[in-house]
Amino acid sequence: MPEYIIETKNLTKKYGTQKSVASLNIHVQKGRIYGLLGRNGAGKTTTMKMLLGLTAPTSGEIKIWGKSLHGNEKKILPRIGSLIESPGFYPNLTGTENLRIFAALRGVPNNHAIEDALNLVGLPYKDKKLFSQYSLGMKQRLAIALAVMHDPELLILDEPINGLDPIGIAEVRSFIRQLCDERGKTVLISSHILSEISLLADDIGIIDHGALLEEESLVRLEQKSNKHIHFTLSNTAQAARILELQFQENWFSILDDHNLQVHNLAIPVERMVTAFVENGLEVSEAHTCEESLEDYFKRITGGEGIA
Amino acid sequence: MYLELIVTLSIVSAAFFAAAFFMTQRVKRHLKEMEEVLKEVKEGNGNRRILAASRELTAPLAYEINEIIVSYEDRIVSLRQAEETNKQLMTSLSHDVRTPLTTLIGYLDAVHKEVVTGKDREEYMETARRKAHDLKAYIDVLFDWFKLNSNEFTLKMTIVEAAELTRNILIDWIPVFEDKQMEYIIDIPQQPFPVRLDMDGYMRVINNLISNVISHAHADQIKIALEKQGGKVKILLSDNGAGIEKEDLKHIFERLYKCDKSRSEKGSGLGLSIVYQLVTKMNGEVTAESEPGKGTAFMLTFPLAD
Amino acid sequence: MLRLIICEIWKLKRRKLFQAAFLTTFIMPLCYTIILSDTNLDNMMSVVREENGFLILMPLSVVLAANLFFEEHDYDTLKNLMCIPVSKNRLALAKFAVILLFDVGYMFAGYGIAFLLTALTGTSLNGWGLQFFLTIGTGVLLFAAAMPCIFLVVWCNKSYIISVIIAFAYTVFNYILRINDSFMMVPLGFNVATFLPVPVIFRWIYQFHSLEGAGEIARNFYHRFSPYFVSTPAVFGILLGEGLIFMVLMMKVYRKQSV
Repeated sequence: MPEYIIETKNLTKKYGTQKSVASLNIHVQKGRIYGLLGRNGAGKTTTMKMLLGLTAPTSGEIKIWGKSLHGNEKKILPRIGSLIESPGFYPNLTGTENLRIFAALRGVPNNHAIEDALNLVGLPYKDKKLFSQYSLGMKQRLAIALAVMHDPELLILDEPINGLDPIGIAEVRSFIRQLCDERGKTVLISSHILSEISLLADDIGIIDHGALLEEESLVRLEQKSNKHIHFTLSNTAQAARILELQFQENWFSILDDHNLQVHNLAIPVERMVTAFVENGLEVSEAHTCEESLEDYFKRITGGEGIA
Repeated sequence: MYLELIVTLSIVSAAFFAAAFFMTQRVKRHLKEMEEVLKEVKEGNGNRRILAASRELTAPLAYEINEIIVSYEDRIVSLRQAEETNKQLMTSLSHDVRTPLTTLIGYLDAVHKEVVTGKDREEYMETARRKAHDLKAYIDVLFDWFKLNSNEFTLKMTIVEAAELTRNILIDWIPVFEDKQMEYIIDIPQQPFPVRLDMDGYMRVINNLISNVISHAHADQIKIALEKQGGKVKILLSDNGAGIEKEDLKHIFERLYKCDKSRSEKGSGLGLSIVYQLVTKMNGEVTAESEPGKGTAFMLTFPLAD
Repeated sequence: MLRLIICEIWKLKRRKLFQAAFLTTFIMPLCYTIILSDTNLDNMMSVVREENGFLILMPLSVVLAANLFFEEHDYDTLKNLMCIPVSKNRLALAKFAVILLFDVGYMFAGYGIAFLLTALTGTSLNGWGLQFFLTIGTGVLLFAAAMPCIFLVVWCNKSYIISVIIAFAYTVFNYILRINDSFMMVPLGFNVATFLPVPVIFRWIYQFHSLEGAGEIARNFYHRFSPYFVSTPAVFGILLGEGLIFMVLMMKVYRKQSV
């Protein structure tokens, strides 16, 4: 039984008659990165807002660290770092001054927390530049600094790479990965970009029209959607030799003595089977898995896909 | 007169007592919070922190406790990291060693069972031999990487003459270039470049970069140049090969990243990661620039020793 | 709570409007000294309380309040505060405290400048203690007096321009009623006049006006007006009570406004 940091039960949010989030059951495990994937307007932000107590759910339950969020906000929220929608700061103050306000109100774990957080996101400490003069990327960086300033155990990040340049994106990605792998922090991240989520997340929840379509670990998803031809046959060593010599193919993986996957889908299966059989191998199974992760998402979201 | 004095005094003392009362309540509350956090830390959650505003009375205590928690957490992290590296080594061994090894066995079995004879047999033996060597090279790289990541790799930093060292490394490569019919341009000035390096580490870096060009770039020209730039020595290693896509270029120094997914030859995906880690450990920098179809350039810079 | 108040003050950093606001304290007493030569402390302080206070401070407090109550919404920082978590009630209380501090500070500055100018012209400084109490007291009362208007602004939750219009309308309305007999010459009780903030404040401070050297008209007015004077406990009771009601209402409205 894995330890769930966030668990929701039939979480629902209605605006008028429209359900923005419908009976959502998500499970975020400790020390893992959970990617909430969905198109814009799928209900990701609303879900995250409910998890942070910014909006009250219409019905359903939220448990964070096993405790109901409702009524325990004061104990739960300080342990979370968050970034929701666009960065919000006071324009007449510098980045450092802005952070100082939130540091004074929430408290920090040490007296160099502001400096550390700014260093981490590559913004200068005690700089004279006002927030109103910041570029979009700098604003986003400051928002990330705010989210991590108090060294929280759980990060809830809504589209954190918005507005960042490619280098910034790579930095944020490796930083989040590091927090999770080395520090055992738990991260819930949302994105509408599949490639982004697949680069970062351990578990993926796919949300569409407010409903959770699938919740699965990335490893399982990739297995499900790995493009290859799978063979079960009597001797993989000989099969490998045949592939190399007859098909000049060396992009394959040998799983064990009897199972082998060929990653190049261009070679006709029947020709390979014939070659194996001619060389005295027994082929008991051969099948093609040719759905990419993208195709898979397209199928389960029932439409244009997410990109 | 007296009445006024008494009134003033009582107001002042009442204010004083009220302030003291609130202060005590506040400190009590903070202590209770600390106790709760510590209880959870005791149960194994090293990520909990005690939060305090810097001017709070209890702040120095809270910060001190946090520091202790963090320092213990750091130790756990390095243990965890070694464990993670171990796990990755295991995965690499099982995935990336199994396929070439099984293929190698495929050839040897064919020879052994006399499926092939004569010239074919010779060829099979040659293929198997080549594969065995590749596998050994791969395992060497794997262990290098493993050592680097588990911090078992210690560097002996000494002042080395970089130009001469580079020339010596290249001498061994010239027969390989000629064998592969690659044109090579070596531009190393005669003047000395004293750099603080680990000799073995530097050799590995250059060797890895060159063998990376030979096995992946599909180039017919390689250029190695060394020059002084400010207080630094810059080593440029470029080829005219296939180049690397922009998207891939961002990741080439990450571990286990293979650009050439369709043809994974003997690339372990570890070579460049090792280069990156070694160079960084020797206080240098490595960057790569590439244009698909035109070639790739790797740039190494090390500060000159004075 | 104290930290919230300090943070509210930090947020006003580089807000030229509110720094410049303190300069306006100087205008009225300076003009008065220049135009009229027969200044005394009592008259100077009346200028500070009535012109500075009723005319300038009142709209300034409302505009400041509009700023304080809208800034989280405008800059989208409320979510950051809610995630700390900071309760909206406490946040609103902190904002009230800042307005109170601003009002008292402004009147204090006015007192300082009037005191200085009087001293410079060489007039007697007799009764400075009473004047201090009256001026600071007016600051506190004006804070309460601004609450109904601030409530209106927060409740409308509209732009600054609307807020400024509301503030000026309220100020002018109150200032005019102050010289209107039908609102001034009414005994205390459950009637409109009792609950109009500025007229009540005026009915309180006017009784401390010295008649020394005053003309016939002023004397007559003083005597005709004297039955309707309001005592110190009554004026503080009425206004603070009124202010409290509107503060509670405002907290209710503020709490309901979404993140």
